[in-house]
Amino acid sequence: MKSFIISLIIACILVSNVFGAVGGKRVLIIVDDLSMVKSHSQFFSTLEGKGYKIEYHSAGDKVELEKYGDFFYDHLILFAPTSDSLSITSSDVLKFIDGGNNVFIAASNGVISDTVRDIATECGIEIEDDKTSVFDHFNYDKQQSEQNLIVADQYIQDAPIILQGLQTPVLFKGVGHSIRQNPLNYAVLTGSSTAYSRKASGVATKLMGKKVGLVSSLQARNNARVTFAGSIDMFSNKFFTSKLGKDTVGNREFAESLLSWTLQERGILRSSNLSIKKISTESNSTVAPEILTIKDEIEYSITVEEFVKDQWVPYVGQLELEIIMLDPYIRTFIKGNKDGEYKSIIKLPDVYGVFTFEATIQKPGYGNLDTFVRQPIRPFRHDSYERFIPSAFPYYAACFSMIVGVFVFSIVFLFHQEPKKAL
Amino acid sequence: MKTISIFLILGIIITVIAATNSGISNIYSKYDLNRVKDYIVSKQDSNGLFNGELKDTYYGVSALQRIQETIGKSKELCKNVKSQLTKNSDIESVFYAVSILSEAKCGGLDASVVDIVTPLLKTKLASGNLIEIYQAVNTIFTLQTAKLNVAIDNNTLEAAVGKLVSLMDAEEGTFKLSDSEQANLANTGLAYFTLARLSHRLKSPEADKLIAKVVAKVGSVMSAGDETQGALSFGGNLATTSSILHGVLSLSSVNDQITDFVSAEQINSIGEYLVKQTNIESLSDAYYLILGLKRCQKNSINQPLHLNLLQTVYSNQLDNVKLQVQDILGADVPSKVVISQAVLSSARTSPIISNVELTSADSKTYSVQNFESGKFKLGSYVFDFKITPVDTQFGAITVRRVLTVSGAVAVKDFKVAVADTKEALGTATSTVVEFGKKLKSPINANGNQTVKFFFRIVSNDQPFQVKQAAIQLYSSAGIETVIPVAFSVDAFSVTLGVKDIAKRLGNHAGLYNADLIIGDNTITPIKWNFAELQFDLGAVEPTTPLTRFTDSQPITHKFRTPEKRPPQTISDGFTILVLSPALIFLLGLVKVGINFKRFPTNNLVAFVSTLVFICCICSVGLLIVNYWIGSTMDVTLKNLGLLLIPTVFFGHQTLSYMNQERSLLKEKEN
Amino acid sequence: MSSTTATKNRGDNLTLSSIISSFSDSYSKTPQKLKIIDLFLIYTFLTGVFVFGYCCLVGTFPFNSFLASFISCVGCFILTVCLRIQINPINNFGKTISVERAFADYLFCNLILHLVVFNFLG
Repeated sequence: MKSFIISLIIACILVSNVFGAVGGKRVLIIVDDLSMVKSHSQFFSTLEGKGYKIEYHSAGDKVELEKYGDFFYDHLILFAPTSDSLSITSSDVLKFIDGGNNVFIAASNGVISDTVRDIATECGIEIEDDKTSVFDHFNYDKQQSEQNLIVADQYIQDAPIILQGLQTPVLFKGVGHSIRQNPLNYAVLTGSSTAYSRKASGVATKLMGKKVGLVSSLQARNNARVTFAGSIDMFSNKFFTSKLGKDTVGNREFAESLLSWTLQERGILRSSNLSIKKISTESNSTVAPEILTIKDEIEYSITVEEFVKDQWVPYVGQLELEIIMLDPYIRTFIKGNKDGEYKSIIKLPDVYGVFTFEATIQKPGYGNLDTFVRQPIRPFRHDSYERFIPSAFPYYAACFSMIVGVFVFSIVFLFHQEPKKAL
Repeated sequence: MKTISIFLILGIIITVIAATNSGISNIYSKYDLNRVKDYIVSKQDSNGLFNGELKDTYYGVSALQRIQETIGKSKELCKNVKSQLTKNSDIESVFYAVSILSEAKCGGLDASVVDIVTPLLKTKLASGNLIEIYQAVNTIFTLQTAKLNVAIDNNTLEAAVGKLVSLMDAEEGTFKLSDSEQANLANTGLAYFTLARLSHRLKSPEADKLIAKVVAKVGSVMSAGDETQGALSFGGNLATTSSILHGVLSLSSVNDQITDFVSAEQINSIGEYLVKQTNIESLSDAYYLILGLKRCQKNSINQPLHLNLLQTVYSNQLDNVKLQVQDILGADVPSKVVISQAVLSSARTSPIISNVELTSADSKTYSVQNFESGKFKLGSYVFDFKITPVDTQFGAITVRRVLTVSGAVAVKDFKVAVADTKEALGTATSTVVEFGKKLKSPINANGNQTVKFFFRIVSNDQPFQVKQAAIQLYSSAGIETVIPVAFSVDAFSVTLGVKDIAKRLGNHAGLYNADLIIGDNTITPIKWNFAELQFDLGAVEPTTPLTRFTDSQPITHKFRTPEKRPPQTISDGFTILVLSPALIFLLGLVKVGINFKRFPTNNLVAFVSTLVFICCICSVGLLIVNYWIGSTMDVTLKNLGLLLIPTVFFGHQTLSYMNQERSLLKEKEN
Repeated sequence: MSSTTATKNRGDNLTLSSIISSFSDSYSKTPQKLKIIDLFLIYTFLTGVFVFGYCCLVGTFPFNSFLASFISCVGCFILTVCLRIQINPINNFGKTISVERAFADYLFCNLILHLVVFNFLG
């Protein structure tokens, strides 16, 4: 059997236009007033060190995120929770997210503007009422004796790529929120079982325990990441340099990891070199031999890379391949080798039709990979079926004997001389 | 602009009416001041100048001088500045140079300098530019303070006063830079300070009358400030705020009417603003900050005071109060301190103590000891302090602070009841759990029942309402929920259907540990594992998945089974069977008796054509068989077409010959 | 004369043996060519029966092959029957169609039949 190489243009080039350019470096930072640039200078300096082009604006400035469909920035950091005079509206920001760009928003325990609330609600996060704080009478910073300056260490467990193994607790002082249960939402930092959200008047609200979200994220289906942090102070220089007893708190590592994940510096996957090769086929047709036929053996091969530190490196994991025509006919899991290549030999079903070969990777914290290609699978041609079937030999024999019999009969008939009739 | 100013005026009026002066919330600490000082010192170059410029040098030197710091590299500084003075002839450089020489005590000011600069000063005094007049006036007075005689008479100075006052905007009270420009707040401070100085020197009634006009408008200037969270600033930046403060306070020393337009609370709010400025980015900011702080520390309208409580959290009981009274830079201010009243934060109408005076042994720390025991128990208390400074004639300030007494509480009468309906809970037996212990056997509840938890929190036998009371249910699989408990009358209770609890748990049935969480600012928190609860939810499916993405199972395709085929022997047997009638045919033919008499042997043409005809028929048959073996229809048909031509031709020949023969034979017979 | 009487007498008895003997009597009078044709008919018929029996036994797996061979048998049978009818002197086709003409038609139809059969045989 000859093997034929099929190079296919991946249909999701159309889809990939929605994915913003990964690795874009233009950041817009909106702060309540420019003194915050000083008080959070260590947080912003992590960006400057990595080559981002940053623009600082205070909340009253007029900024535009996009014009005629082109975005001016790739990332937005919104540190203006209480300002009512933001020139960008929540629908602008949502359009920004739909365009594949990332947003990082911090709230505080003052009066949060409606813009921030709307964006949060659209992302599945319900921020608590104004002037509520998260209190935890068991885990607060005892040196400060403010029981809403809590020490939090309930990090997300099933997506280690976000916080990269952080263990040290962080200081948090701000407002809590509730997150919906959805595979797209990540509760990066939640309160402990003893945390609760309390109004300024002292009355506790209904949000208690591990459901109090302190920092949460959303990874949208186009891989845009939106992070909400309930405390803008947890990113300030003061909190970065605070100490709990003898050890420095983990705010700096937390902020750096979270920010770099949110800005898509890691965890984005892309696929390339999709090929479907015929290894063996039961169809001996000479017409269009490269089209897939039923019961062919094919080798499906795809390379998956992930984006780490401005580079695309091979991603080694598990890929789910489904061959679908309305329902999946075949679903296999392919493990990648160390070069990020995923190869598998599959026998095509004996149902013909137009099938979609869909490769997905869904790993918590990583971007979605959903590559599909549509191929027809044709049935056997009329001359691909079995011939000279042994169990049909009687039939063949019958036909042959008939034709021979006709021949013999016609010879005899022609040359036979009737004997004279006895009168 | 008008609406904003009206709003601001209203705001200030309301603030004035509603709240009395309540001091500043923080002092400008020594640590921050040292940082400013370090910043200023770091900006000095090796040649003595700051940032290489006269202006920044002026700011740096003046700032350092005001906080009584020695100025480094003074010899180089003096030399440099002196040479700049002789070189440059614009009023700005002259002003800065003269001021620096005077403040740094260089001693380089002498009559030669006066001669050089006097004509310049004369011209600048007559110019219509506010800043130039300010710089000229200040240079003159600096020189005069250095005991140098400047030949400028009072008439010129009075004319300068008139010029300055003419630059004031009659409505807003702000000053223009020159006749052709717009009035703004930034210049107003400079103008006030210059006018104050001129008035002080001239002591002339006409000048004072003009200045009174300016003073009358100070109120509207003060109302143009921005107040946010108790901090009053002007023009949104430190320099304008500080210069207006400085200007107003200078005017107050020459004109008593100022106090009608500038209130103590406004000075307080400016002080509050200054205390927040901990990020200094330029020498001019440093200078204005220090200028403002120093003026706040000592002036004739009001001195912002800060109340520093030495202890705000007490354990178990509050029996003393200790505090300090400080000015904006942290120096102690001797005063009379009285606790006007102290109330429980949740019962603010009934004072516990009132009008208790604090005493001090050393005028630094004020304290009162030995409250009646039992007055201040667990809880948060709001204390109102009234502070009257001793040395000055300023008014009293009132400060409100929260003092917390924290301690321990106990849980009493803890009961759990499970019943089939809410109504049946009243009569169902409740399990009493002793505080600190855990129930030995788990409590069972199924999906249709209702559960009630009830308990009291007491502190020293008084019911205490804590801020956080909740019941946490958690299982070994990591599923947990926290249920808040409501307070009513004097006890905490919560009644929930097991279905609602199950919804919170995502419908995962099983064994759950139950903890009671009690938390409050003023108590040591309690987390007590009191029982285990076994929920039996029947056949309800868990709604919340344990993993983020549902695991999918591999699917393999079942191929169609090929049809069953008979064993080969049967096929072979039937092949032979099918061929057997041929034998019967042949045998029968033999029996019937066949001959080939009609084969045309005599006529050569007929013979040949018959043979060819038979060959053609054979080949047609073979062509058909070949088609079956592996040929296509079109090839076969083509060849068939070709073959049919000879077949038909020779067949016609043969058959017509045989026809002739037959008719001949028939005739012979007949 | 006597033969006709004998025939008449035998015709009155309708037992199986009398039918068979009368049939074999009249059959022996048929010309030889027709007997050859009859033999061929029997051959074709038996082949068809055996083919059908095989299909009933093992199932219709290569159904096309079964149909092809069965149609081949049936078609040959029919064509030969038609030839017999045309050739039989009793039917008096002798004026319109000569024997050779009938035979040529027979060969042509067989050609078409076998071409179709081998196409369908697979």
